[in-house]
Amino acid sequence: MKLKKLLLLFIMISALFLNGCLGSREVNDIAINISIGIDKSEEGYLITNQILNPKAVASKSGASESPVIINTKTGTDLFETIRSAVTYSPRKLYNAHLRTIIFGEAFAKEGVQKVLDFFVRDHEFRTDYYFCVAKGTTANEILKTITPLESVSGLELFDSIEAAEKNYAPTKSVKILSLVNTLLSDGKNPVLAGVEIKKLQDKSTSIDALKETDPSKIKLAGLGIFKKDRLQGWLSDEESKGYNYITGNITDTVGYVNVDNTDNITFEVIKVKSKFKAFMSDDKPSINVEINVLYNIAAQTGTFDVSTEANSDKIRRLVEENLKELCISTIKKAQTEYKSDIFGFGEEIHRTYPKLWAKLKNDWNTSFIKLPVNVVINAKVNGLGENTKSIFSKESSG
Amino acid sequence: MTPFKRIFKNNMKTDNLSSSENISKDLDKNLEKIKSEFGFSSDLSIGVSTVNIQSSLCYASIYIDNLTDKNTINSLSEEIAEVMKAKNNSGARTPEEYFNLFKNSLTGFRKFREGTNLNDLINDLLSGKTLFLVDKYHKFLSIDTFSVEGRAISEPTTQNVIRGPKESFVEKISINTSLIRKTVKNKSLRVENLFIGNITKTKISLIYIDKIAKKDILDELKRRLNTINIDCIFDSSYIEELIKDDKHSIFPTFLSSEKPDTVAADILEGKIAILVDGTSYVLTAPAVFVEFLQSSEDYYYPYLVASIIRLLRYIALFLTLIVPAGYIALTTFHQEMIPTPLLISIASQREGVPFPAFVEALLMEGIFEILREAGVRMPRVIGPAISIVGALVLGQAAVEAGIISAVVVIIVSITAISSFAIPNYTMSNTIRVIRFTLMILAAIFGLYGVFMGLMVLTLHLCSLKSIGVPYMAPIAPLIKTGIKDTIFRFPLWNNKYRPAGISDNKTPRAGKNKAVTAKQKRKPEFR
Repeated sequence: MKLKKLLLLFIMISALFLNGCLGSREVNDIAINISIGIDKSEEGYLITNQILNPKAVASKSGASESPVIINTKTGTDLFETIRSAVTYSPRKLYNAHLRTIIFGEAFAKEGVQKVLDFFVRDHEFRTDYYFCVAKGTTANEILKTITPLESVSGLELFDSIEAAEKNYAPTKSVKILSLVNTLLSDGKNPVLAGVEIKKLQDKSTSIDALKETDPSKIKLAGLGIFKKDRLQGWLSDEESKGYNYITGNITDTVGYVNVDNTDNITFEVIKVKSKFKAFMSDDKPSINVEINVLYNIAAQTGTFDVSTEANSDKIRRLVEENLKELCISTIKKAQTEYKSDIFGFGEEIHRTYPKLWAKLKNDWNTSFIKLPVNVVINAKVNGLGENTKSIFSKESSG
Repeated sequence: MTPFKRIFKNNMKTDNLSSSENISKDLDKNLEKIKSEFGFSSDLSIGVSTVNIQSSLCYASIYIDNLTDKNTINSLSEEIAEVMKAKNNSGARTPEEYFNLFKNSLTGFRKFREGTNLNDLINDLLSGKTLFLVDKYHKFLSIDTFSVEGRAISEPTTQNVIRGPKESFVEKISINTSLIRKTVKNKSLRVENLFIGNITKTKISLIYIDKIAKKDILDELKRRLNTINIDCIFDSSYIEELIKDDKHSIFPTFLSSEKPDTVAADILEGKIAILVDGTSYVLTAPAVFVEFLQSSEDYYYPYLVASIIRLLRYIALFLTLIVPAGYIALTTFHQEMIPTPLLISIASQREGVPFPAFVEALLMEGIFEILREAGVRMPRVIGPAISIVGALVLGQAAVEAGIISAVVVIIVSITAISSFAIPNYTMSNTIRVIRFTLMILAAIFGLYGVFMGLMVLTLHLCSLKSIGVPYMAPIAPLIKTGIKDTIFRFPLWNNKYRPAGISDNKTPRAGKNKAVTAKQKRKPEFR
């Protein structure tokens, strides 16, 4: 009996030691990798690791060292190339705090699918980093740029994608799981946020760039449209907004309408809900997009009285028209120019007409071009802000 | 034979006197015997005189100098002189008559007893009584003249409060008993005395309220006290160590308090107080875990405020346990769990620090514990020196020299401050020790080890008992009547019943709160 108890105790204690957590490493023995840039090179890949220099980033006395260390390597295998970065640095690369992965434009055009498995499979990566595509440049160039405010471009990119998506919606944050899921689905193609370098100066790779008020800066540049895993082209900021209206991916954005050709009325959208509905017309599948928009009046340039019901209604109709135009132009662009269903209309048809979808599936991108899409906007005003009439409107006598 | 008499006898056995020896009729012989028993100790005071000038009959008064009150002795001797003068002519002649004369005239309101046993005589002498022996008579008379100088009642030193009674127990058991008696003015309050310690014969008092204290618990406690066989008792902690349920457990299972109001409140809940002569800490049992995080002050503040403060203490307990271990685990194993900006900040501070996080934390925690220990033992005058060395030299200089990172100093500070928020010092010491165990586990296994440690800790806590009452009660097992006074303190009028495991008395402690009814709420309005 006693032996049994002892044995039990032994088993329990040995269970303590049989765990996989023994990989201890000190914080000052790891190189925190903030961003990975993937470009194409003759050998295969050109990998850029943007490694944090914690001493410089968190120092109180101002930056005297470069906040990041750029580590560039070429190779034929992705993981091997990333790992070989250790030959440049005395510390082990630590990828769990990766903020962004940037594809170079040339690389994205050839297809990104082949690299994704690594990021899903490797245990060290978290899943909360964003993907983006360097517009008109290479990922290497983007990562080499020193940026104001955040000073680490990988971090800045992460934050600005988040901030922009929340406040203006000209972009879309895509994490690894949603990217892979979109690639796997038949009726939807991915989009990735675009980044570009706004102004390339000689100084921009040096610390001196921080000393200017308008330093060289990387900037979000709309959305890159993919067909399957290949980059097709770009949506402008406006069109990207349209894309986000259609997919309902807006928490807050701003637009304006022109009333009576004189006054500009700015509206702030605070809530968007969109709904696709597939239906058959003339034996052909069509899509009805219904977008419900809730907005506030944010500003006006003239003295148009926004407080009366009739005028409010007028504005509402203008807003609806404005948004409808925006959405339709975005859809047109996707249909005619890039021929890629980034909205997921195919998925909706799949859900509603599974049998029909089986026929359409294989050649969906061609069918998509001719897909009739009807956009309905239902706008609703929520509030007029802190005042009702324009502060400059004079009381009309009588 | 009550259990207590048995103790008395057991203890006697270790003395070389046979317990049945009686005093003889010969005064000289008796005096010789007493003197030799005390080894002619110089503080033994024996006075022999004749009862009056005419008679040759002698009587002796014996007492131990330093245990007796000089004033009482003086008044006794004056009284004797008066009695002898007045009774000169009364015709009392035989030794027995003289003995009775003493007895009748001297005792009055005084505590006294007469006896024949030599052992009793010696014990009485040792408890500060004055003895009278009359020649040719086989009995002695002992009158209580006990008085020892002691500390005056003062404010508590470890369990300070801002609101509420501020007196604390002292080293004298009689004063301590009186402090409880005066708080609980009820005839059901029982005080049972016994003596433990083969050599010291320390007086122990059990105080409880009849019909509220659970009989089973009381019997078990008495049984355990009876089994104690030790030469001395200097503090109530001796009793705790000797009779606690799990001998090796690091957790205190008896609540020690130096505040009479706390003890009185416990007694009213059905617990039993154990007073030990010579210490200002009174034990109450059974004690459950939640009590160690309660302060008497909780009941003197509005219940909402008190509940939040209690919650704060639990958070502090958790912090002081977890923070250093968590820091070690996160920075050496799970960097991915730290938010990126925080990791960057930690990484920049760790830059250039020569030690691993564990050694760093252990070093600082260790130094802090040494500082704390030094602070308790050292002479008061040197106090400021230690704090300067501790705070400036160790804290600041170590960080500036780059030997220790600033985060660790913050971690140690959080731990230290939190550990002082635990009201019971014994519990706070226990947590201190466990913290180091968790730190080691964190260094070896990371968070996995920390949680293993916490699991083992939880299991241990759940298996503990205090005189048969589960330590984690009323949470595990859930006792509905007790749960209202655990992490949150329910209002006094709402918490009506005593915790079922501790008291089986079902009479409500409070009636309906009728002072202000909902209807009346707005009614009296005095402007």
